[in-house]
Amino acid sequence: MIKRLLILSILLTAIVLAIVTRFYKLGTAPAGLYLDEAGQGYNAYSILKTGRDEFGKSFPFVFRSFIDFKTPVYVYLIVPLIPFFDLTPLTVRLPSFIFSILTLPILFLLLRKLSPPKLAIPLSLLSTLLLAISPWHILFGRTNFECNVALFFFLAGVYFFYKSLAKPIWLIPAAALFAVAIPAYHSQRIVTPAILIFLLIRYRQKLLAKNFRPFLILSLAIGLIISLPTISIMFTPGFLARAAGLNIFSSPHPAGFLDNYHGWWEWLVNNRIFLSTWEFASLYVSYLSPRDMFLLGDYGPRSSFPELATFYLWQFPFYLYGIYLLIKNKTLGELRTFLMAFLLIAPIPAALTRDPYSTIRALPLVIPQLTIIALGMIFFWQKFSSKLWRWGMMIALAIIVFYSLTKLYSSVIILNEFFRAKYWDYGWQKVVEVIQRDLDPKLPIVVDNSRFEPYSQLVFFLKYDPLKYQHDNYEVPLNEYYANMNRNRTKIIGNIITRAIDWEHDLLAEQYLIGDELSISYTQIKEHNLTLISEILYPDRSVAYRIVKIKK
Amino acid sequence: MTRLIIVLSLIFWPLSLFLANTVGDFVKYFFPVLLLILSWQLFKKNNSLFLWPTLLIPFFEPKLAVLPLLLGVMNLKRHWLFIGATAIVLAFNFKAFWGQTIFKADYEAQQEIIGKSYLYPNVPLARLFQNKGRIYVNKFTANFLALSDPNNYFFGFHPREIKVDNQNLRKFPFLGIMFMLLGFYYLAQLPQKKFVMVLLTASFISLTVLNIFDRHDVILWLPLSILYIHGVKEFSTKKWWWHRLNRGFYVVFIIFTVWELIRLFL
Repeated sequence: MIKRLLILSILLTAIVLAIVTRFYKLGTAPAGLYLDEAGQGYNAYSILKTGRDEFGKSFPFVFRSFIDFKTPVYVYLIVPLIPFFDLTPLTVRLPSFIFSILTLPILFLLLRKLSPPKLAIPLSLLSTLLLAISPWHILFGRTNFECNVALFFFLAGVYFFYKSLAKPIWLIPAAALFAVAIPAYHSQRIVTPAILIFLLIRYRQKLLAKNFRPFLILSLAIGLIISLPTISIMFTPGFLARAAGLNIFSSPHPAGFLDNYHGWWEWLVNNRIFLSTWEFASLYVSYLSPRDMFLLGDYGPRSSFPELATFYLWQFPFYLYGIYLLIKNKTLGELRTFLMAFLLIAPIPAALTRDPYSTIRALPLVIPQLTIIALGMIFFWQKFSSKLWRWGMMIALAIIVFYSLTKLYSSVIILNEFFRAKYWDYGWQKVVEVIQRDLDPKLPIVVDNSRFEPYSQLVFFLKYDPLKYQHDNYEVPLNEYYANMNRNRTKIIGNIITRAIDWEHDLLAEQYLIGDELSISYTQIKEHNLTLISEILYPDRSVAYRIVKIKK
Repeated sequence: MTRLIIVLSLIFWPLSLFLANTVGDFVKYFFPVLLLILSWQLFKKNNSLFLWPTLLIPFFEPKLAVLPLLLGVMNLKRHWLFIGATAIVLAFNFKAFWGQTIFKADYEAQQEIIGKSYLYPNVPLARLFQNKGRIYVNKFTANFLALSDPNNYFFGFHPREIKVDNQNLRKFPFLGIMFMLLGFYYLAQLPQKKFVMVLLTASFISLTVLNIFDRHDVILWLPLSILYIHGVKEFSTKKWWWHRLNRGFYVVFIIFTVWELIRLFL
């Protein structure tokens, strides 16, 4: 009884830590709302109000958005939240937060199932605690990224699969969860089927046994039915857009291509097969490299926090020890097999894309890597039997966790807000406030879009009528929604139009112009005798956007 | 075939270093490796003076002045006379050595720390995360993790090349990562494992404290090559479930390695 209470209290502590690290200033930190977040939020709003997305497509299977064809699960998860929380940055980040928290108990249950009995409770508890304070997982739990939600469905599917080995009826929820995981994020289109194949081959004898067969057939049928919308569009350019655009094989000149060499050996030296193989191998290995994991983190400013990598530096020696144990210790049983398979499969989709160490695409990797770290910590702990040493290590762990939390605060709340606000498109909410408060609604407003795409944030913060938006903005015929890759960058939002500022013709009419510091410089304001209405500044006091008026 | 694989793999790093530098520079960076090879040969012959050739290293490259001292200290049989000699040599080269380490004052980094500290709501928090000690820790960590990055050795740091003060040399053929991993996995069965691990560790530490370790890290070529060769031998002799595919892998390996070698010249 006491043991159970202790386990529950540690698990609850981990969940509370997770809630605190993810919910504190959720919606306001990161400051700003990135265009993809606004796009998903507005599409959810449009679905809620009209049953159609911003282009008028009824309940699409992938969302066209910026012709990046966003995965649908996250958008549909936002829809029911809008009536309760309104259309705000908090609302669009809430599904990430919720599923990020739900991942913890699922991880606990999964590891408890996989691990040898003596290791089950300590490993599952410690892994859960590490996930609660993981910078990698926290980032995607605080922001609108589909990968987080997909990870939950995937892990839940794995858990119920293992549960089904004792009771076959659990195959049904496993199939349903896997079927939802696949369309939830792009990388799950590879990870989920690969792990499924691994599990099905590994347990083929059990699954094909007489008592399992009916449930297996039913599960496959349910999985297929849920996957039908995805299957119906899987060969369309829209479905493949993201993969086609980012994969390492699509570039006309792969990485390492020598442009200046045209000699005898060009067919060999610049051979695509060799170059692509080399490139894939280098990208793949980088996901397992300590330098990326513990020092550099993701190169993208929105996929990382300043001065924080994907793991804490203090976890590095335990990671090495954990890897050693994973390879050498055969008594780890199914945990070892599953972790190795997961560790080797998880980086594959990310390694097929050009970006180096993309944490969003490789998010599933956080699970095996954190578990390996936890393994290293537990076996290290077991080397010391003296009570004094053990108390010392507990105190050290508590101090380390506290330090890690303050480090998180430093990077996530203080430094990120100051240095990365522009990357999160900070300022559009204030622009909309000025538009609504200070600008004459009868005059046109031109919002420059030569270097960025502001329309999604504008319609989001204006809570612009989706019906009117669909009516005024035509892009492609609806029967070509998934196939036609044309894009209309000019958007009409009432009296607002987003397009490039035309300094020759726009000065002839009385209207407002909105743009960044490059679009509307002080020189231009002086030169064209414009009236500066408002300047929106980033937290570092540099200019984000200017709103000017052209006098008649 | 294994001999061919070993030869093709081991010429990679020296060739890469040679092609990316002048002859004079190549000799300067590679000479310590020759002294280490001599030391290794003496060790294999159980010669008790095997460490002494390394004493010459600081005279050719003061940056590596701490290497012989570390080798002496880390060696299981204490060579007190040698350690004394290395300490004297280090003291002799100390000024030249110290100016090349991460402990040299970095004004730019200090200014960055000061600037960031104003962002914090209180002084204790600012001091905890923005302090001068952090400058040294960050540099040490960056070096340490760069030297333990497998992408460094098999892909020239690709896809995250070091943009400043690093030639991002290819050190081993990328398919050789398999042999290197096997070499580490079967380390316990390596006859000269103590020498290799001491040399590897001492080299690692002496490189990690340098401001710029690039090209000097060629001193890792010897211990890593020994491990690599060991990995190749294990691969060829162990009866894995896939051992019948060994020949196929060798062919693929040779083709890719020749391709990489040709590209080194371009």
